[in-house]
Amino acid sequence: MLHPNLVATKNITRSFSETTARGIFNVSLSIRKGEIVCVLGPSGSGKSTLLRVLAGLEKADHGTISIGNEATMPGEVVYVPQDYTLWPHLTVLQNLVLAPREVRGLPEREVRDEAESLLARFGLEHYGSTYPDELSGGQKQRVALIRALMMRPAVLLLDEVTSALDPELTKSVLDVIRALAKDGYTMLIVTHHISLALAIADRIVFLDEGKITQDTKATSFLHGQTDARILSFIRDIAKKDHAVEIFEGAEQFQAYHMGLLKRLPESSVIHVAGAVGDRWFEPMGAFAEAYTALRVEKKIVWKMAMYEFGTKDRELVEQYPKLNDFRLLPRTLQNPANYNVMGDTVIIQIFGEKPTIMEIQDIDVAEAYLKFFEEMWSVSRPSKP
Amino acid sequence: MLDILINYHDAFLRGLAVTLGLVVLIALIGIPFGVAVGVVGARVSRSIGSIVSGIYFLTGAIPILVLLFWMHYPLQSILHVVIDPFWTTVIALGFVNFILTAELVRRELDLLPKAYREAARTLGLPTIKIARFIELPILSRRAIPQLLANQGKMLEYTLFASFISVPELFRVAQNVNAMVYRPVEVYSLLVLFFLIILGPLHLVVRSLEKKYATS
Repeated sequence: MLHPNLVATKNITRSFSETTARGIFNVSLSIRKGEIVCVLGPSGSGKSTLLRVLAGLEKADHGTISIGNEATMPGEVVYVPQDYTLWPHLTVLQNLVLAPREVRGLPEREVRDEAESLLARFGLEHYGSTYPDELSGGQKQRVALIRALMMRPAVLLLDEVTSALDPELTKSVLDVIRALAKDGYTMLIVTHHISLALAIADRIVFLDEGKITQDTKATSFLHGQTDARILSFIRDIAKKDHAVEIFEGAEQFQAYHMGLLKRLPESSVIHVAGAVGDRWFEPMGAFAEAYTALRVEKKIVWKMAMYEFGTKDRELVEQYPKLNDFRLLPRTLQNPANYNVMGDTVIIQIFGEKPTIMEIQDIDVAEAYLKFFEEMWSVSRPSKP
Repeated sequence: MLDILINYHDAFLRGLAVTLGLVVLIALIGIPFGVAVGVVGARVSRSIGSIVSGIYFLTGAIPILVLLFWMHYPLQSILHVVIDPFWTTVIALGFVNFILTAELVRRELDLLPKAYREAARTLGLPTIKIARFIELPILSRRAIPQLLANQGKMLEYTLFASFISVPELFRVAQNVNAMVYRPVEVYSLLVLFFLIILGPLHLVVRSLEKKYATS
């Protein structure tokens, strides 16, 4: 069922200076109920401003914002920023119950029970009477997220909630966000974690110099990417993402594929979408033969939805029909990159002068891409190479 | 020492009453008006905040004794008025206390992270509840120890009133000493008085600072 837009902005502008392009300009964005939209973009591109305007913390210079069909109640759109914002004079439990009690008028007992159950759900059951100063950064951010949930918000706006945390603490917060995604919360998330965006987002919006330059389905964001500026940004943020690794150049390309094949268990299936002719064989060079030999030995299957069969593909199907399940995709769907899914790993391959592999090890991302693969598989047609 | 206390206890008690009277009046002028102007300077009018900061800087640069003398002699001469030295002290030190309090409140409100208020706003709390449940409790924890310490300073400053003939504790001690000429005992009594009054105040300030630093 297609839900109506829960959040819709039309041409909103919030400018901070007449001389510099700081702020957001003519941003139109809509989010459906239950949808998760991740906002990516370089520093200073206006991501936080967009969230702050939606949260009502900044006033738009012009443009319209509508949230829900009726006027929203206070606390329905909750913004969680990157800084720690727990009130220092209140314990964790007091931080959690204050707003629901004072804004929603809910009974103390009811909100305390709910707070305690959320604390338990996110592994913080022993911290109810603790003051924020005694918590780690990760614990503080988890409490801040729980405090937002206590309002049972219609929309959650999360603004780089892990940017002040080290990698170990980051994981605990990202796990909470993933749990919220599974609960069906409507969220607009500013993040630098490309793996998080790919794992939970329905759409990825790219903001550059205060303007939306791309608004695309999350799974298409990487392998469908043609914008050099965005690709360079993706490379930069991927380097900081613990779940992502990048391999550049023919040597690394070959070594990666050989290594991957060695790691995969026998009779695994590699799902490939977006192959074009013999494009993959070029950077593999002389290693292609060794790769095929190892693949045959380990009985690893290529299940491939491709745009065009190449000569090498034809040879493979003829020699090893059981290991090569190939189908053709409509050309209208063609993208400059392809992706492979195997187990908990997704790789995006970008071909060109410098062949590049972006490996994302994340079960949620793999599941999202596998689902995307099944969609592509269903529109492909069997055709003998 | 005890005989001096017994023989002159009336004078000492009168002096103590004048000193405590000064302190109470200085606090009554300084604290409520200072808090109000500090809040206005931080949240309503930045220009009022700047004026408060400017005057705070000026009063910090002028020794209290000089200010007191200037208000007692030149200012009254310029204005062609004669004000009782007690009330001159109340006005001068009340003004200083008012400025110290206003600047303390303004600065602490400015230092209060905006994120606390924004978190409350985004959770739907109205301004009045944000002030009641978030800002005032945090502000009072940060400002009360300093506010109390300032009142201790005001008590010390009342000693300067003796120079413009206010019969407060120090002036009484000087007078008693002039009669008995036993400075060691007389001024030791004075030390004792101040220790009894200021000692507990300093302990309270210290324990509040310690308590609020950990919670």
